[in-house]
Amino acid sequence: MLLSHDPSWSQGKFTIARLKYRGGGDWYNDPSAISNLLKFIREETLIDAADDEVKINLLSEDLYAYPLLFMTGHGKIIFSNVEVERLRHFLTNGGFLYADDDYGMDSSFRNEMKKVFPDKEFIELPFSHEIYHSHYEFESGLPKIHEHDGEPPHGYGMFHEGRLVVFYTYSSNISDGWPESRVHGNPENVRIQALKMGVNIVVYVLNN
Amino acid sequence: MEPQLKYNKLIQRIIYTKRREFILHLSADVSKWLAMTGIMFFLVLLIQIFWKVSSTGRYVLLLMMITIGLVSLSVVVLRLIIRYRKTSLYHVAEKIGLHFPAIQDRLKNALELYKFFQRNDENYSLGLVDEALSRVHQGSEDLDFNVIIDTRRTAKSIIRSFLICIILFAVILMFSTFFFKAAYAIFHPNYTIVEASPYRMDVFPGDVEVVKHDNVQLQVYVSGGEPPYIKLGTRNLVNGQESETEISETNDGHYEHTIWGIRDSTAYYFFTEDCRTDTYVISVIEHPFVRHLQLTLFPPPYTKLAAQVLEENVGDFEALKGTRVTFRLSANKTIYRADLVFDNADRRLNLNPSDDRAEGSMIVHRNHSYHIRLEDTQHRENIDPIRYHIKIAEDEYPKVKIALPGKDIDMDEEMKIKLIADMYDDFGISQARLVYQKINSQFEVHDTLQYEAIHLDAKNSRELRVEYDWNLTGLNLFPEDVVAYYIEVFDTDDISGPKSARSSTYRVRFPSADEIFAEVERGYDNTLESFEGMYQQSRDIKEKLEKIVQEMKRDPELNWEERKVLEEITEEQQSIQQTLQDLEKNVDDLIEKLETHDLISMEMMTKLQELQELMNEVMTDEMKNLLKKLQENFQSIDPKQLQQAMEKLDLNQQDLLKNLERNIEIMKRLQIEMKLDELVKKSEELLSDQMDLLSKAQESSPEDGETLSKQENDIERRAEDLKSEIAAVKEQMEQFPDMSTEKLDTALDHMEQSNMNQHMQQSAQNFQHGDLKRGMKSGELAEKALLELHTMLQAAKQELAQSQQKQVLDGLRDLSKDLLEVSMRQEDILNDSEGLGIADNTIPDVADRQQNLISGLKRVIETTNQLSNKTFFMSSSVANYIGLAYTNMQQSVQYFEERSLAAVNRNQKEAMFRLNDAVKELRKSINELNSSSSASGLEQMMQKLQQMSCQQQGINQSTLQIGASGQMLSLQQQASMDRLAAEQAAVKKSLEELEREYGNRADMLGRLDQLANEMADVVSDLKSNNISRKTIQRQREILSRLLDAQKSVRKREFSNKRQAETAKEYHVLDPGMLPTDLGEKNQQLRRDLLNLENEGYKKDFEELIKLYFEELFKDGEIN
Repeated sequence: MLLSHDPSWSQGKFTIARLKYRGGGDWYNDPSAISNLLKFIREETLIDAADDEVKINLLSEDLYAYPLLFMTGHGKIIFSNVEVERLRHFLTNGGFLYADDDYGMDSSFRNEMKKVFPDKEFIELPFSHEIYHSHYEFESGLPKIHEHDGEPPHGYGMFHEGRLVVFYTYSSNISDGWPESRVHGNPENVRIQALKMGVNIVVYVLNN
Repeated sequence: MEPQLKYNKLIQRIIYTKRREFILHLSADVSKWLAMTGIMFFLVLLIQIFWKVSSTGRYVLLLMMITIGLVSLSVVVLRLIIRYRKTSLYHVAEKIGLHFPAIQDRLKNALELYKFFQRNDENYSLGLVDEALSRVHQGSEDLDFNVIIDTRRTAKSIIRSFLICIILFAVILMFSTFFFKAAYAIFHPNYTIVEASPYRMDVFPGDVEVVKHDNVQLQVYVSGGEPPYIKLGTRNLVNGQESETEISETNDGHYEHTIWGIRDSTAYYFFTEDCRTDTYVISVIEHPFVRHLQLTLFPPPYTKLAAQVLEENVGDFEALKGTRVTFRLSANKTIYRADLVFDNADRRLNLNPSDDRAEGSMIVHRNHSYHIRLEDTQHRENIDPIRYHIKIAEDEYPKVKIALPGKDIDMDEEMKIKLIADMYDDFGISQARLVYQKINSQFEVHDTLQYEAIHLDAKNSRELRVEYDWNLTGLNLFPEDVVAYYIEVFDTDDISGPKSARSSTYRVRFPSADEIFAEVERGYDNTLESFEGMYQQSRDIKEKLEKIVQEMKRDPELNWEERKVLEEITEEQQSIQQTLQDLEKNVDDLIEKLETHDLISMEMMTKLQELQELMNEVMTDEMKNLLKKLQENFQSIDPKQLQQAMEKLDLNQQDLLKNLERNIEIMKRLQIEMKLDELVKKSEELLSDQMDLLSKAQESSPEDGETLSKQENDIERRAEDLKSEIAAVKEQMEQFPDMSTEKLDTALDHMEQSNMNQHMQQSAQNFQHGDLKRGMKSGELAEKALLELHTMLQAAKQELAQSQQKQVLDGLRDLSKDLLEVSMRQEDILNDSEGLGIADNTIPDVADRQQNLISGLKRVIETTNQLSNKTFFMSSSVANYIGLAYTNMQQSVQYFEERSLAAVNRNQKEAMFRLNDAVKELRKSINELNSSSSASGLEQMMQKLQQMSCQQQGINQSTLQIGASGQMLSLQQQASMDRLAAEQAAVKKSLEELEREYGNRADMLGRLDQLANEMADVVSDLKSNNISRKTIQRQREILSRLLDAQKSVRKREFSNKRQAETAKEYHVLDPGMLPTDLGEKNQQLRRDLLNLENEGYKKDFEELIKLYFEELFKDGEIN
């Protein structure tokens, strides 16, 4: 459904849509994260990725044009009723949401997702799940990029009719590993792990 | 003289004569022999010429000739010798005597006499002998005996012979070719005589010297006839190989043959039958030439390019400046000397020769052409050397582009800009720097260019994306200052020197809060205006729709004009829809602008976002779909369907108007809240600027007074503007009776009474005069007034928010209660109706009750409308549900009249359910409203911080007053100090409590423990009456930090640039297999349901919630 209408695909290039949301959270955090990930994708895979992300909100007409939505932030998230419906429709009709807790959006995100899917739960994905092996091998699941509260990393999924529609990384902060090393002071090996996991997510989405 | 002597003399003379005669005769005979031999030779030659004697014959002839010649000569000579011998002296004497009559035979006789005397024969006497001899002697003394020789005859004979020889010689010379040939042939009997041919062959080029492998063209021109063939004979002078080739005539009438690529010297001749040319020689010489050439290019080290070996025998190349090129060549022979000759032979590079090889190297810096010159040991040079070309390739200039922000921007209050630059160079980037200049500032002169080095992670990379956090705090910018900047990069070229390139120049502006607020206000006003315009437009559309609907009721068929009007209406509605979307985007932009500059509180942002949602709901989905359908099928839709659509549109238009009205109302209220928010922000900015100014003044010198004065004047001007704005907001608020302006009045009064502006003016004047101390004193009074003003404005804002919230909450609760009441009464009526029979006479009563209930619901509807105009938290679905309930109730009354009790019950049930739905929605709204404010307790934190700030300000002020006296403290002053110390300690305690209470928000509040330590130091100073400059400074910092803490609380709950800490290693356990239902479970819902009792809801609400969950379980309800 999505790919055939995707304007970025019709121009031959894949891109990721960053979700603009209300509530005060910094949806725009780490502006260079996606462009760096796309660059890594171009270098490491055969996917013809665009140079940069697009920014949309849930009410945008182009929402269905992008198979992968990305959201992150530190703060509060609010979805209006219409946005809840739109997101639900998007996800149940082929779309995918990847949310990365940049520390602080966990409770807000879970609350809002409860509105989207009251009858679904987040389940922690096993290490054997395809998303950890779609391109690179992550035998021990998610890499941990930033310390946050000192917990191990968790990768949660939400399913609809057997299809993974939401992937939520908590206490891991993959997207903070995508900008240049000097932005967050990440060692290069940590950064590479984050980028590889990013590639896995993209490849998983495109294959499913 | 003795007879002996006389005898001898005579004998001598006779012998002489005899010899002479012999010689003459010999000469004559030899000349005769020569002549005869000549004639014989001549004859032999003639024989050879005419008869072309064979080799054997010539041998015979030669032999014969030699033999005859020798023999005849021998005979001649021998004969003469014999005759000489035979001829005695007496004979000669006799001949002499005959010749000379005077002598006659006396000579002979004398000689004989003597002879006889000597033999002593006949006994001649000496005297006789002597006399005889003497007489002869005397008689012959004057006589020449040689005259007896016939020289004339001899001469004739010699002359004759010579004449013959000369004639023969002349003839031979005249026909020399023939005679010489014949002579050659006679004397070379082995020589094969080529017959003189009728042909004459002229050969070109004859003997020639050519270069090895050249092609040699041999030509022969034949005259004297058409030979049957012409052949070329060759003999290789090196290996002796011979060959013959027939050659054909060319069109020009000559014969030619080309020897292709001659290698060895060769002798050649042409021949045909009876004719052959001379043999010529083609001497092959070898000039030196380049057999193999190999070039290797070593690019300059900075390029990191690998060496390149060119293909063999390729001498043309293109290379970067600074490339080292090695030349290696081998020739066909030993080389004496080798050079590269450049351009017009004005420069040379010697190559080192070694046997048949040579090599050398050079570094190229510019375009050249060159050829290779070789010289062999015979000093022969190579011929026609190839001219090669060297072209210098350009090292390109680097490129740089600023990807982020990539445009002129306004700076936010963090004074930091993240720059992302893409850099590219063909060989690497060595360094990059940010270049900037303050190009517009109201307080300072324009700076010169400043530079900041940008660190490159991967230095010398060809392609880089670099992020740079540019901190502008050090630039000391004031609002409205503009900084222009660009990024400059340098490449790694160390041959010509690093080349640089610049990005486009962008500007970053430090907007003043006033500007941003003004812009936002303009945007908001425009949005409000647009809404009011849309409202008017929608009213007009409603009128037109109503007219058309009425018309259609009379006549469903629309005429052309009516259709046109309908089309226009549809288009207008769609443009309204588009306008609404645009306005929603406008509000989005306003929020972003305010948020970026941290000029909006969280609550305000939430409200604006709610407003956006409201805008989105102005036009219902039903209306949108209807419009879309109408537009698509307008021409083809049938009249009945069109009529229905129009009626629906008319109803929806009513809703649209209601929603627009609501939006306008809420926007106006929100505008006031925003204004209040703005006032708080502005007062905060003023306070912050004033505090900064005073801090700066403390460290400045009197020379800086003018700058300080300007800044103070600016603050004063803004304070004056703020006063006007507060008055304007107050006026706006007065339009809403439920909004209290008391606190704003207080703020305005305070501004007058505190003489804030006068203090600022005084401060500015003092600074201007260089009196910084006095300036600071006035400034501090102004600062105090500003802090108080700020606190008052915050209080005003808070009061408004709280009162509004309370009003709304109460309204929602009351409404919820009323709806439940109506629902319960409806349930009662339903219960009563269910028991009725069709002929039951209580039906009218029940119907009446139903009708009364409808009236009651009408009042509730009115309340709902009023309430919805005040708050976002009234979802439009509440009104919808109530509206549906109303319709159901009305229908039930109708069915009562028709006595269709089943329909009555059905409608009553529906009405009840809808009312319950409305209540559920209201419940949600109440919960949201409750959680929107201070769910995190931030408001309380804020209040406490404000309180502490006010207290601290008071302490600071008092300390300054006491401490500024500079004299010994009086008892009263000491008591005041103690009191201040106690107050400071109290503030410290409050801070510690705050830290304990909100310790998990330490990231917002900063290092409060450090602040507490600072306070402890101040307490200590105050207690010991030891107030120093440091004490004052500490107090100022404490106040500043408290204000900062308030700021950070007002920001989004969580810092957006949280300090990221790289993770440690963690041992993670596999979560295990996925559950079979993959989390898509209904059991959780049931668990939630079971937990209801613990939630503490009222019973009736519990029932409602249960119903809600049951709805979820129905088919099609769960996605």
